[in-house]
Amino acid sequence: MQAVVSYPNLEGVRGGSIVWTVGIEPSVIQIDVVPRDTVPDQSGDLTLSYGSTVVTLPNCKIDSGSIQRRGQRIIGLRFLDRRWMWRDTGEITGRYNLRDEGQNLITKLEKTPQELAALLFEAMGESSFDVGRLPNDARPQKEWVGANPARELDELCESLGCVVVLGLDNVPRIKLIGQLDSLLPTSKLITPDEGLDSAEIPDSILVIGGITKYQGIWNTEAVGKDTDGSIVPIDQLSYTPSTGWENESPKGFYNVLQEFGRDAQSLAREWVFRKYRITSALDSILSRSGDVPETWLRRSERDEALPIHDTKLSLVSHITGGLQTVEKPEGAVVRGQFWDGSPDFENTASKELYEGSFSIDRETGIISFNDPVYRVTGVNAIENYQAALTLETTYSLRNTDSEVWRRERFELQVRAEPIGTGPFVVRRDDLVRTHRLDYTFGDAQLIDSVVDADNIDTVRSEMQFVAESTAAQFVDKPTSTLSYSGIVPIDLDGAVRQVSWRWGNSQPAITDASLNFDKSPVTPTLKQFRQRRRQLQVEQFVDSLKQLGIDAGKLKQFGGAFFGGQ
Amino acid sequence: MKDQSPYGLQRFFEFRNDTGVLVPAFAIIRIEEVLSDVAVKIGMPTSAKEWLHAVNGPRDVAIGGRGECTMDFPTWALYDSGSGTPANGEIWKPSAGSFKLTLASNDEGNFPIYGGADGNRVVVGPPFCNCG
Repeated sequence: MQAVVSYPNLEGVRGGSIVWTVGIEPSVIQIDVVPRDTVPDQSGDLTLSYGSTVVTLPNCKIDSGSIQRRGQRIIGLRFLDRRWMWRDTGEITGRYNLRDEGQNLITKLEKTPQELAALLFEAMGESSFDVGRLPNDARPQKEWVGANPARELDELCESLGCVVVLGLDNVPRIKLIGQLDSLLPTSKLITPDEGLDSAEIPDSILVIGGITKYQGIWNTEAVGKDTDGSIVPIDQLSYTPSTGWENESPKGFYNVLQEFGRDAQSLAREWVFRKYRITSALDSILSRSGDVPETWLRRSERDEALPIHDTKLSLVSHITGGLQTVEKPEGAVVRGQFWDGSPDFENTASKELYEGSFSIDRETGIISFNDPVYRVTGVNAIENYQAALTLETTYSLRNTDSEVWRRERFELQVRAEPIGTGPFVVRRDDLVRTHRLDYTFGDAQLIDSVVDADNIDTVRSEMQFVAESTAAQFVDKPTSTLSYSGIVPIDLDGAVRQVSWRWGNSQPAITDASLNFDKSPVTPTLKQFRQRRRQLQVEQFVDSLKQLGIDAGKLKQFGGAFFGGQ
Repeated sequence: MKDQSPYGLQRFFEFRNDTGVLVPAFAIIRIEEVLSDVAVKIGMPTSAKEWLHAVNGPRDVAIGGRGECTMDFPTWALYDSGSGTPANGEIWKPSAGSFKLTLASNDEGNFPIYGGADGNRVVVGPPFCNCG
C-alpha cells in the first residue's frame, strides 16, 4: 500500500515526512517532488492518505524549497502547519490578577488560568479549544500590551506544568505534561525502543516572592540643612542660635539672622521645625518568632528601609470625578504631640493625628510640613522644642549584610538525600507578603494593642503550589519510540510529544510515536523553544530599557528585580 | 502649629531688644524706630498717652536679641498683679518704665480687657487712641 499526499497544485511527489509536535511552534512537513510545470499554492490543506487512513493538516503553507540531486533533480519543499499563524500573528492586551497595595486581588481583574487561556485562544483566532486540563487554582498576574497570545499561552502553560497540543481533529487542547490520554495501539507495531528521560532533579525548589511590605510606625527627628549641605539634627546645625531653638521664633528665626546672616536664616525658615526625618521603626515585626511577643521589639533603622512608601497598605474609598468609587491606598499618617497653635499654649495629647499638609521624600525619609511643627513649654514665657512625631507608613527592609530587599521564600525539598545541586529557583514577584500592624495608642510612647494582619499563610500556600507544580516537572520519565508499519493516526497528548510519518522515496511508510521526548532534527524541541522564548523576553526587556535610556547593567547595582540582585 | 490657628493667623514683626533688659514674653513695648534691616527698635513704654505700643510674642527676648511683636488684637499681654486682677470690660494702660499693664483710672486707659486673666497675662483688645 502506498501513502499518498495531496496539496493544491502539488504534483510529482516522491516521498516525505511530517513531524507532528506538541507546543505552539508549527510542525514541519518535508516533501520531495520531481520538477513539474505546476507551482504549488502558497497555502492550503495538506492530506496524507494511506488506505482508509486520512490525516489532514489544514491551512499549511510553503516555508521554503531547495533543489537536491539524487540521480535526478529533486525539489525538497518544506511546509509548516497552521501554527505558523500563531507564531507570527495575533495580539492581546489586558491586565489580570493584579493586586492592590495590600496585596489583595483586585476583584474586577481576577481571571482563572482557564479563563486566561480561553482569552488567549480567542486572541489566536481559535473558536474551538479545550482548556479543561489546565490547573485552575493559581491567579497568575498578567499585564499584556500588544503581546503575542500564543507565546503568552505557552508561558502560562509552562508555569502550570502543561503544554498546548494541536489535535489531529484540528482542535487545540491543553494537556498536562507527562500524562498519557490513552494507550497507544499495538497493531502494526514493529519495534518499541525503550529508554529513560532522566530529569536533572535539583535538591530543592526555591520560590522567591516579591519584596515584602510592612506597615509600621517610625520615630522621627527634626532635621535641618546646614550651610555645607549636610542634613543633621537641628541641635547640630552650625547656625543654632546662642539662645537655642527654644527661644527662637519659628516664623522668623530673627536671631539666626542676627548671628549668622540671611542665608542661614533662609535655611532655618525652610527646614527647622518643618522637616522631620524618620529614625527607626518604633517596633519591628521582623524578629517575631512563634508566640513570644518580646522577640519582635527589634528596631529597624532608617537605612534598612529607604526608600519608604508614602502610603499605607490599608485602602480607602475615593470618589472620582465620574462619581465612581475606587479604592486607593490610604496616605501615610503623622501622629504625635505638638502645639496646634491654640491660644492657651497647650500641646496636643500624645499621638494626636496631625491634620495639616505634609509630603514625604521617599528617598530620604524626610517629611516636609507646610507649617512649622513643634511643642511649647513654659508658663509665663513660651519655649519651643521639636515635636514628638511618628510616621505610619509602608516600607520594606533590606538585609543588613547583603543589602537586598527582604522577600518571602519557600523551599521545597525534592530529593530525600541532597546531592549538593543547590535549589532550582523560581522567581514570583507577584507573590508579595504584606504585614500590617494596626496600633491602638495608649500612653505617650506605648502601644496598647496591636492587630497583626499578615498574609503570610496565603503567600506561602501559593508558593507551595508553585513549588509543587515546578517539582512535578522534575520527574524521571520512561521514554520510548514506538515504530509502526504504515501511516497510523496517533494523536498527541502530554506524553506523546511527537509523532512522525515517513513515506515514499522507495521506502515503506513508517509511523514513529515518541513518548516523553521529542527528537526531530528539523523542529525545535519543546525545551529548546521555551528556552528561546525566555531569552527573547529578556532581550525585549533590555531593549525597552534602552529605549527609556536605562542602562540594564546599572539596574543590578540598584538591586533591580529582573537581574537576580534582589 | 497651623497657620490657620489663632496664633498662626496673627501677624508679627521683628524687633531688636535695645532696652538693656530682658523683654519678657507678652510684654507691652514701645516702638521707637524703624531700622534699616526691617527690624524695629523698641523700648519700654513711657506713657499711656501714646499709640505706638505693641505686644511681645510668647517668648522672652534677651538683651540685644531679636524677637517678634504684634499689633494684631486680641492678644495676650502682661499685667501688673499689683493693680489687681483684670476683669472683662475693664480698661488698663501701659505704664512708664514697665512692660506690664496697670489698671487705668479716670479716662487715661486704652487697652480693653477681654475675658479673664491667666497667670500673669490677660487677653487685651485693640488699644484706642488716648493721645489727647
